[in-house]
Amino acid sequence: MIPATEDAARLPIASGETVLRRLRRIGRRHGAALTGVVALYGVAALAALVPPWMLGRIVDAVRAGAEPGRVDTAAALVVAALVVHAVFTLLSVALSVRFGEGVLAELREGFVRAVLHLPVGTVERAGTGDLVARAGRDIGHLSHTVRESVPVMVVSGVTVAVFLGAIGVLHPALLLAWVPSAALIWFSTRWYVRRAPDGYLRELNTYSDLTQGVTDTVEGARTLEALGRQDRQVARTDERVRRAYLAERYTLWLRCAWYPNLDFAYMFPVAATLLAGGVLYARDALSAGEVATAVFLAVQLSGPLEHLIDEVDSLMQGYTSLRRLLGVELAEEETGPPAAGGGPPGRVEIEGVRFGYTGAEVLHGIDLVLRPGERLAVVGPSGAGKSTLGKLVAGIHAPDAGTIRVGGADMAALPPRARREKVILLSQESHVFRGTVAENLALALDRTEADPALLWKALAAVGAEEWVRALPEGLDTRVGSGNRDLDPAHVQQLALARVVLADPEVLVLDEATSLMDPRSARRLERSLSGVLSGRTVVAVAHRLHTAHGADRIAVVEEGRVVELGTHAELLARGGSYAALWHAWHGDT
Amino acid sequence: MRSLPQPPGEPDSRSADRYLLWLARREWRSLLWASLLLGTYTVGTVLLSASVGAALDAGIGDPRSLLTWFGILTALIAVGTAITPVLHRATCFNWYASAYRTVQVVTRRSVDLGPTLTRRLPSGEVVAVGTEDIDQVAALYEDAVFGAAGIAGTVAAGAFMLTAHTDLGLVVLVAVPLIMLGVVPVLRPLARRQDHQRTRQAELTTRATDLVAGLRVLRGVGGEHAVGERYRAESQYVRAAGVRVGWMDAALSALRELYPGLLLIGIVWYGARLALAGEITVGQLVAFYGYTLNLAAAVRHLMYFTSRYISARVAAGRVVRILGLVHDLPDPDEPAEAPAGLCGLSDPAGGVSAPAGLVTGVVCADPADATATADRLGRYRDGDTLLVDGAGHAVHLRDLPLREVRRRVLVADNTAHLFSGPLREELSPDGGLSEERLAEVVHAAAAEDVVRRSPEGWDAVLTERGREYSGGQQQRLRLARALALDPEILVLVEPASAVDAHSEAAVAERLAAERAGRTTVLLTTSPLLLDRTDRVQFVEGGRVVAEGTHRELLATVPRYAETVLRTAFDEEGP
Repeated sequence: MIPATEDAARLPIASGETVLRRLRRIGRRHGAALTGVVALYGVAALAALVPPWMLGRIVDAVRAGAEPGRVDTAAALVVAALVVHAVFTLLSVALSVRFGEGVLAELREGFVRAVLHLPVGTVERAGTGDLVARAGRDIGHLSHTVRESVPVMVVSGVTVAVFLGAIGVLHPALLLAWVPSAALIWFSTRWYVRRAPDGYLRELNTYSDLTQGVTDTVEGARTLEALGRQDRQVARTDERVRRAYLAERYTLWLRCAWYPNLDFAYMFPVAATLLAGGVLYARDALSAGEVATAVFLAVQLSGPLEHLIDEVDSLMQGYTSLRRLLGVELAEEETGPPAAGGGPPGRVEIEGVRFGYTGAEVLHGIDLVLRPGERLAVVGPSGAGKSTLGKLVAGIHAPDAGTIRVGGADMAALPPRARREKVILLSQESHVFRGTVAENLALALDRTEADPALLWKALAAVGAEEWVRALPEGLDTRVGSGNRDLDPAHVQQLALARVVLADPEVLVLDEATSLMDPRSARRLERSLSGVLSGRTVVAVAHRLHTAHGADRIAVVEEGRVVELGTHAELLARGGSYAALWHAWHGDT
Repeated sequence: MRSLPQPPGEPDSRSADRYLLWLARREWRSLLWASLLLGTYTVGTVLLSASVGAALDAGIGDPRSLLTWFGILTALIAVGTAITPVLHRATCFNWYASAYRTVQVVTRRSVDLGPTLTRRLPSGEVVAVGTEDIDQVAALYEDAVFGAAGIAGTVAAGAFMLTAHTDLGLVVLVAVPLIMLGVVPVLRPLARRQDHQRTRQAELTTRATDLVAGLRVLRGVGGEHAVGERYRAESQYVRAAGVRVGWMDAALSALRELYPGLLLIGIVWYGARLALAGEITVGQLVAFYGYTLNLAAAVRHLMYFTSRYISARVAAGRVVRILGLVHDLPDPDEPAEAPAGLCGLSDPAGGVSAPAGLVTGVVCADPADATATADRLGRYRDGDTLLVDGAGHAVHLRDLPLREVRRRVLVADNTAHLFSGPLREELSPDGGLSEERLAEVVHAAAAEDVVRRSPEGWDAVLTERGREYSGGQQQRLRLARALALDPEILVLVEPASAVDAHSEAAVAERLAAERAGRTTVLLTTSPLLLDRTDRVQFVEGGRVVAEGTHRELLATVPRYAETVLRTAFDEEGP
């Protein structure tokens, strides 16, 4: 049983400082590339100044009544400048993409590496939902930010700086036209940024409720019809729409208050530049052509400025995602030195073990010793703590009190790899990874490729050889999400074949066959008993015949072992096991 | 702004275009309003260019004239600023209205289709509608205004230029679209490469989520190193693809800067010659420079609108595929009169019959027979199944309206979908069940631990498909849900196959009492459940071959005993 998700069980989120530290590290490592991008684009942006500058020159020339020939030479020069601009743009954009892709790959690979080193107990507690969201949505957001927003911000930022510089060179007083705009942008954006994240979070939640509702409806259409809930689902969808709309209205209001400020800030400098230019022209500080140049510099500046501010939202989103991605690295498992174990392999000693998830204790003192090669069946009602006991034996959780030793080694002190060599837990939850059948099996050997003969042997041992041979490409058939669907019995056989390949001292089976139809379960269990001879097995069983086949049976009720013995002994005792057995067999 | 949602109306699902047109018609007022607003805004920017030119001609040295033109420019900018929030509201409203309407019509059609939906369309495609297509369709209406703005900008700038100087105006009007379209050849290979990169990126994301979904398994048997390496290799591949796209992207950026630059130079050069020749004034030359920028923006708007339309059309095509389906099992033209009293079922095809008011066990040696029998009993496939009342009056299920059949007969199997939302709603959707009744059904399904699992109890929220619950818990939740509905006839398919023996025994004991006075069919091979039935039918080769109580059959039919007790396994013994 999975414990309830509580805040304490959530995966951490990195602090702002951690993110900054990481960004600085990236900056240091790729400093040269970064400077190169900015420098190259700076040169490119200089060339973009040429058309408005030339406009001004020509205006002056025309007013002075110049020769047409001068205009032609100027035009030719400008064309050359534009080509230079294009070449530098090409280089700088290509370089920035290269830099961005590199950083992105580094971050996502770091995330996956951290995920793969998460302690199993942490994953069990936090559930996989949050991690799936981080692996999907957050990597998506970050990719968008790095690929789309960062380059736009760099390009726009450099352009804005170069254009402002050029205006300053024309006449410093012209820059005054931008002062009201700068203040307006600063204050309104600060106002917006403080309110937006909460609003968008709410909006995102209601929106994913809405899309989840659509997914639920289409996937569960058959069930909706069976339960007669069609009209209700329609009403529920409308209610979700209403809630999504309400959430949207809040952020819409925020933007409606923010945008006019921005729009005015982008455009007003055009008028203000004309005014300032006119004043300077009257004082002979600027020519008419230079005024025209200044006005169009202002016009052409509004675009990059708008792009720059537009990316604020995306940048905030990317930052939040980065915090969530880096957060996983904080939960990584420290691997200690492998503890020495000197006992006979396969011997399991459980001593005074107590354990609880959060608050309530589930196991209240368990003592059990399994001799090597013994098969123990654990039966009992749901919630009695059978599965928890299995997880403790496999070292997924460490007991709150008492010890569990396998082959003499304390499970709680072992690093994951050593733990797995001793004990493997196989539960009813199984997963087929996207990839070939062979890749799915080779996982157990922690290799991407493995000797096919070895794999076939493992498949034969679990009775899966026949259907794998019947697959269109045998071991190389692609399975998992988006590929060929395997039926639950086959999935479980693959999981068992992995166990055969991993070859642990002790195997914990937690209702491993319960999701199969009874016939396949029976067949699988038969092949299993052959494979497992000599292995110590703890089988959490819900089918009594599994218990019947075991060397000893432990009945767990309310966190305690209440009956322990062979099938015959327990029947003779006439306790709860005996009562169940008789009910099963229809004798009274 | 009207409040949403509105009643969606009957969509036109004959084609993607017709659907898009239908949506546009439903919101024509809002679309028109938004287009007018952006059109006005765009004309304002053209007027701004004209004003700058006129200001230069009027003489900026004169303070009066300068202040006048500054006032005009500021007024134009103020009008634009005033339009911005109204326009933004209008375009956002167009997004909401079309997205929500699409959600509504897809939901309505899906619930009408029921099982037909997933039978006819691959589930991946159906799910994409919920996640992507709605966005794509809605984006078209949000950005529809760009089409209008593109046209308004072109017309306004064109009119000003042609009045100022016909030749120069014509040159600009022809050259701008031509040069903008000149980018298109670069766009195609870029789109192809971007597509390729996006596919690889999607594959990479799928790999990451797949890895995370299977993390518990992975951490259990090992393979982190191998999986990590595979992810790294894929990630590097995506990086390389990204860098390749980057070169195309860079080329495009460069061209985007180069083309309009060349265009501007051309205009200025030609205009300068005209101005030197005295054909146009300096102010007009400057205004032309501005118009050229306006025109380039207008053409960009039109290109953007076109690309939106293309994506929306593909998405609308998928929406229409759902909207255009019809139910596999149509209602009869003339529905028969259904018996009013408590009924049972009889399936001549397999010989299974479930008398009214009893609990009938059906044991199938082959699991495929169980599925087929359940489908026939509940009319999920066409057959001759009869609804029979206590007095022997019978009517074919196919002669009754489907809703009537579903109301009276509930088939609860293990593929039934668990919906996201509060736990209480899943069992008592309209809040119609009392706390006592809820406690009863949960007790009957031995599902107390499912409710206890979360500190929020009944208010705990199920996420997608109830994934956070174990297989056994999901199964008991489905059983409790079926019992809560309390249908006249309940067909249960292996209701306790993933449940531990103790709970299974509890379910067996409580089920008969819970279903007293109703008709129940139990398709199972569990001896615990079968022992509590009134009678059992044994199906082999698709037909009932033996019938009696569980104990009679155990004693007299060896194949039956073998099926339910798995004696084959016992032979290997401890």
